[in-house]
Amino acid sequence: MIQDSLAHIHKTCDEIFCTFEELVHQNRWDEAETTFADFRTQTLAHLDFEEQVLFPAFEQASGIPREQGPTGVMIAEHKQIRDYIEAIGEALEQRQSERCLDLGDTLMITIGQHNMKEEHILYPMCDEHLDADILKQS
Amino acid sequence: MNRPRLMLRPDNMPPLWQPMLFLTTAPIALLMAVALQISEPVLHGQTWPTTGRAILHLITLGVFGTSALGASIQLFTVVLGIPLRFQTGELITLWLMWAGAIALLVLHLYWPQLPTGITGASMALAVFIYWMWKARSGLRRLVLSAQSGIRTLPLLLSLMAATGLALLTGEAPLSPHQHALLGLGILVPSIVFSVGLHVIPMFYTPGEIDTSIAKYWYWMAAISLAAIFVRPNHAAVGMSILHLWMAGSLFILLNRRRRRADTTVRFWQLALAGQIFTVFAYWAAVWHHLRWRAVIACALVGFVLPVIMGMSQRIGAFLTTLHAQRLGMTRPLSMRDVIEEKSQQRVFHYYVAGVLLLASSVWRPEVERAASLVLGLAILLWLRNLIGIPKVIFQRATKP
Repeated sequence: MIQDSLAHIHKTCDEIFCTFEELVHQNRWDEAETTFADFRTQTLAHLDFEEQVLFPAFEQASGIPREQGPTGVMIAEHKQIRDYIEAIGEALEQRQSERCLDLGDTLMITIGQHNMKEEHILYPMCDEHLDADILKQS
Repeated sequence: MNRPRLMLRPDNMPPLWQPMLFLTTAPIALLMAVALQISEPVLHGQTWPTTGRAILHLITLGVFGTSALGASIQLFTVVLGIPLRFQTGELITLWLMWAGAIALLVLHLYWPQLPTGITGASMALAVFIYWMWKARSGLRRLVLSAQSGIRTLPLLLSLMAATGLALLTGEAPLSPHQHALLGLGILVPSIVFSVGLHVIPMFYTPGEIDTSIAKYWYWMAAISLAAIFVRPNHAAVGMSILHLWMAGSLFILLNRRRRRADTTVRFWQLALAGQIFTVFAYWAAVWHHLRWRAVIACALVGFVLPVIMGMSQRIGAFLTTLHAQRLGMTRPLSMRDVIEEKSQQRVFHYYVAGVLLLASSVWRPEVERAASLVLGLAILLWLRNLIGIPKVIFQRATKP
């Protein structure tokens, strides 16, 4: 199932980010940087897979154009998520723990509501139209 | 193809001012309620049947109702894929809410002999119209939803409206006590519980959650509901289990991995402690002749209001960040840029002080008015945080 597999990736990324926040909270900057790099790599890879593989396939199979369907909403939110990741990366470089955590709070909620839309709305629609083999392209 | 899901479109996203209009209405209605309470303290005075009911309806319909509607405009898009755009239904709802709240005050001040239920009915009608309006596109999805709390909402709202109407006409063998139990004991907690199950994980990233707990809520609520109508005196048992179980479940959810201080979490914790305390007050009323008005005050001030005050600030701040790009802000905005944590903490501290003062009025009735004043101050600060959001947006959007 596309839904189960991609929801698992969401969960993994959430867990990594929680660890990162904890490390920032404790001012363990070197470990925080490594953990954040892991989070960034996994999250961006997931977003890229959706935008380059899953969404185009879904739009083609369902006939719902990007501008008039859920993929358009998701892509707009992906941009916002990328912006937050970049801003947290900058705050991390400057060792600004409060800024990291402030932006982290907002990123987590942005991702939380975004994931809920995907898991409750978009992924079930993908499962209706697409074969789970598409996940092999991730 | 499921049609409601197709409504999740970029052009269907409700603009920020729509939910904010509802969220900002809530503290104003609460200020009206506090003004009434300051002028005629109801816990120890003789004005409970008139002023007390006016305050009760201002809080349940004016504060809780408008906040729930405001939040649902955004939340239902996320949870159910039903975007609730600001259309005629929402506009009628908001006008009726305001008409009800103002009529409630005017009637109470000039014609106190008239039943306050008339204005309560106006506000209830507003909620009812809203849901029926939504039914055009989303009721089937609501009813078929896997979320038990949400699924039962139309039924519970209809029951509230029906029992309120029956009380107004005096046609049904029903007491105001049963109507209040249904509202404060079942309907409001159902909304809080079903929203909490979604919002707490979304906002706070807890560990593993067994969402099947919603099923148990559904059955316990059904049994308690039946008890309210069949054997009201025995409803205490079911209601107690229901509420303790709900508070316990949400406490577990709030045991989040992210340990950063967060005022909204404090408000939730206060609300759940208030809910547990209300259960004990309920038993004290059943067995030790504690006045029912004290139990109702406990439920409103200890449980309902903290949830709304905490969540509305969080939702308002988050929605601003969500709409930041659309509002012309190029740099990512954090929620604490929108409402500072210190400002939220100030609201919380004043509110807790007000609650403690109000609780102490059980032993010292003369502090009831002072408690109301402190609560009023907390509400003013809450309102200031919410209406300060446009200023933040303007400042950020005009920055190069």
